[in-house]
Amino acid sequence: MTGPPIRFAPDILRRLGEELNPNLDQGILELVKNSYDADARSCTVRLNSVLEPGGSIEIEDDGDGLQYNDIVEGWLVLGRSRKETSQLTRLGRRPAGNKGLGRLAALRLGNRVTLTTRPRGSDEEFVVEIDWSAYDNVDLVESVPVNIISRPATRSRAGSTVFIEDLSRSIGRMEVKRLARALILLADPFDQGPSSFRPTLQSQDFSDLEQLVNRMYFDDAEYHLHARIRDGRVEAEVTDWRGGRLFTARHEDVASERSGAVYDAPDATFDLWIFILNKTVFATRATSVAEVKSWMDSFGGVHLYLNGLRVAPYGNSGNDWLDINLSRVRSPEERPGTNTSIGRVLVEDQHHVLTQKTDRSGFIENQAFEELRQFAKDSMEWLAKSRLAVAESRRRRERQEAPTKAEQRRESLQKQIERAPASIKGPLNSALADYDRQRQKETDALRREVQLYRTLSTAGITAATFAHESGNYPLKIITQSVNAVEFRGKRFLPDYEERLAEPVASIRHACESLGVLSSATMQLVDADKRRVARIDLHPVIRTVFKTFEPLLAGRDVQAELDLTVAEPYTRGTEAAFESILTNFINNTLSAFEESAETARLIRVSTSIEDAIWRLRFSDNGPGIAGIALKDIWLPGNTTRPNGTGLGLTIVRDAVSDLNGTVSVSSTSELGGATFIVEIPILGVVSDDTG
Amino acid sequence: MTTLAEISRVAIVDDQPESRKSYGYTVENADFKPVSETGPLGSLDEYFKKRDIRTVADAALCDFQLSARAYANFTGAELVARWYQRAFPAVLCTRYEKAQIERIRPFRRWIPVLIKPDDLNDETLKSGLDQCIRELQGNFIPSRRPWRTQVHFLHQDSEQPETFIAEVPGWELQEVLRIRLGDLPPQVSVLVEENFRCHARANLGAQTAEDLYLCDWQDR
Repeated sequence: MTGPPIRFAPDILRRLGEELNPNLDQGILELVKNSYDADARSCTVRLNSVLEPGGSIEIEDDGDGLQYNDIVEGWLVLGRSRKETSQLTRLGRRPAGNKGLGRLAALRLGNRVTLTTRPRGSDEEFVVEIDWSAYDNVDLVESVPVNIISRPATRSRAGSTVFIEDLSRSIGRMEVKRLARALILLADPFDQGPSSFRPTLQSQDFSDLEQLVNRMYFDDAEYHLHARIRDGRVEAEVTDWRGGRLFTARHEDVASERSGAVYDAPDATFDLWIFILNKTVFATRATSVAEVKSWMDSFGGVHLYLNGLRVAPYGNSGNDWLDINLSRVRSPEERPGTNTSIGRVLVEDQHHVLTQKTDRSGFIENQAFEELRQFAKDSMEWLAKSRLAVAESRRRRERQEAPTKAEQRRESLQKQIERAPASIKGPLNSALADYDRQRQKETDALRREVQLYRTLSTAGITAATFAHESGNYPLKIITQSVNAVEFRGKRFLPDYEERLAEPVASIRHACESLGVLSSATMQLVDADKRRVARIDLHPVIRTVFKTFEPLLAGRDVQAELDLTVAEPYTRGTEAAFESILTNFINNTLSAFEESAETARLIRVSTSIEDAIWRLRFSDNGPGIAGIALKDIWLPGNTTRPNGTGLGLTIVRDAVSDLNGTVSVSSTSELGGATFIVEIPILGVVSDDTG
Repeated sequence: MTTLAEISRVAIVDDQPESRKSYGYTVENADFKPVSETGPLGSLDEYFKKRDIRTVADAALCDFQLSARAYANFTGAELVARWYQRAFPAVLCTRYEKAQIERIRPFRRWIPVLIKPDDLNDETLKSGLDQCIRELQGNFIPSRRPWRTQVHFLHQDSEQPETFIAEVPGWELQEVLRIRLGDLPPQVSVLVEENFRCHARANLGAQTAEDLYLCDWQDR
């Protein structure tokens, strides 16, 4: 028994078309995707007089066209796609279109639409015309017949044209811009080979966007590397985004790592466009960072073409055959990644030295392929080095120009003073001269400070090297040898304990002290200590004093630590905090050398009040004499013949790094100097909480 | 080699003749015969090609630093690890600092015992070799057993561009490690970026960062 089918009122066309797909660009894009799925090489979208209602849109492609059945069972059927996305097209494309509702929306943009299509291999073409006004006066969609006319082909080759005329509304710039971006994302960036797809836009009203679709984003690249290899020898050049030549290289420059040896690779050219994707760079450009980023997401990487044909998987998403990302991770400055660069290698393999794998998944990695890869990698390495050299030269120039700029500002100030009334010109000139003298003094002090820091850094590096060497060799040998003396003495000498035990113990003790000093020096240069992180202040104090224990013991200095029970912590570098303590200790040890005090004492006490941690560092040395208290912080000021005068300057700077303050009193309860450091803390760990 | 009692000859590898001699005293004290490996040893591959250590020794005591003089183009860590993979027991001896530990860690999985020269004596040498032999037979002490764990790469080291600061949450959250990209398998190193997480095997029972090893890296 057959019952009545569900039928649709014409209003459903509006609901499924315009209301479900409000974005015009998506509708047109759907038609372009139909062209892609029909294996078109090119597809042109023409927008004619669309700034006002009444204009037209034409989408023309050179694809396989539609057979009669394709029209009846596909093009005219809404909501069902004949495309099997798992089944590839004749050119190996994965179908991109969907269920046809976007197409309906696009077709209904105008009052009339005409499809002209010539199937591949046929001399005929089909014409389908739809006049949407015909649906206005009927009750059901199916009441309006659609005529499919067959006629001798008027098109010179296979393909389809959809002509939408008498547009019911205007099309704005934002919609066309979105369409342009979407077309770029569908296009093969290099337009190479028979299977590449290249949509274009034609519109007198939006000629800049027409250009954008044609050029894509290549003009926005900051650098364009063009390298060529002929008979194994390379030439390369880099241009900027305006096309100006920045660097050129001879073969020896690119192949410097292989001592200029020629590449055993086929002739090829390598182009790489590198983008700097930040807002500042793009501030003055018509395109946005986001547009280029999404393009890079789709096409970033280096594609490979053999005699004009694209070879997969090189440059596919996730394929980084030139290790671009690895190089960037290893040395990030001035190097691109696959998401900030796009490129192609065009190989002309006349002698067939490259061999494709039987499953067509790229080339067999033979000598020729490895050398080709090396040529591209070396070209990129040369570019990175050239960019690094420029960056370094810029930094050097900035350093050199800084004084000159200051000088220019000063001259400008002087000119302004010359224009001032005579009554104030004199005092202004005098104030400026005073300022100059003071500034010169500070510059000189800074220069001395920098020089001293360099000297001390060199001393520190040398000390660390010596500490490492002494721990590795002399100490190791002494330790093993003294172990042997002890072991054999005990075994073979009856009077070992009486004659040798004591000197052996002394040597071992001295070795342990030396070992501690050696590791302490190495620990000072530990890179972890220069990381900004939480610092638990008291454990650092305990560790520093533990490290200095042999040195303090050797100099008869006793250290007393009177630390709060609560354990304070703050944020900063351990190196900064440690340098405060070590410089205080070194300072005190030097002071003791000038003291007759036999019971030498250092006392470190801490307290906490209102989230401020206070450290008092006192000793019973001779105190501070022979130098004004305010001057002890200045670099180079010292009362000791071999002193650098930098210890307390470092303390001042390190305390400042920790947002604290430091002060000094020339006498203390112990009789010597007292330094008081105050550092804001983030919190405390109480003993009852762990 | 199945027991310590089967060991009679111990090869000594150090780039300084004086050091080899002094290590020799300790080897003798432990009642083994010291066999001094005189250089130059060349590259690791060359050394293994031209020298079958089993023909002259039953075990080895090896210093970490071998390349300061023209003795070898590899470290003691690489050598001990390669021997381990060939079931030859060896103890690595070094006064290790943090930077050195970072160079040793990639090989630590195959270095069962690390001794400081100060701690090296006849007893520690014998017990160290004993532990090596046991581990080669599959008897791991608890702190050496491998477990699958997550590694969290926090950020790039500001001082060393090819190095990342990482943590192993399953082991210890307070302590961070430095991991050089060159020490990772290529398929993992290309993925590493700030906040990257992946899995590896680690001896989560390790008491200190010196003893921790990471191996069998997985890219997801």
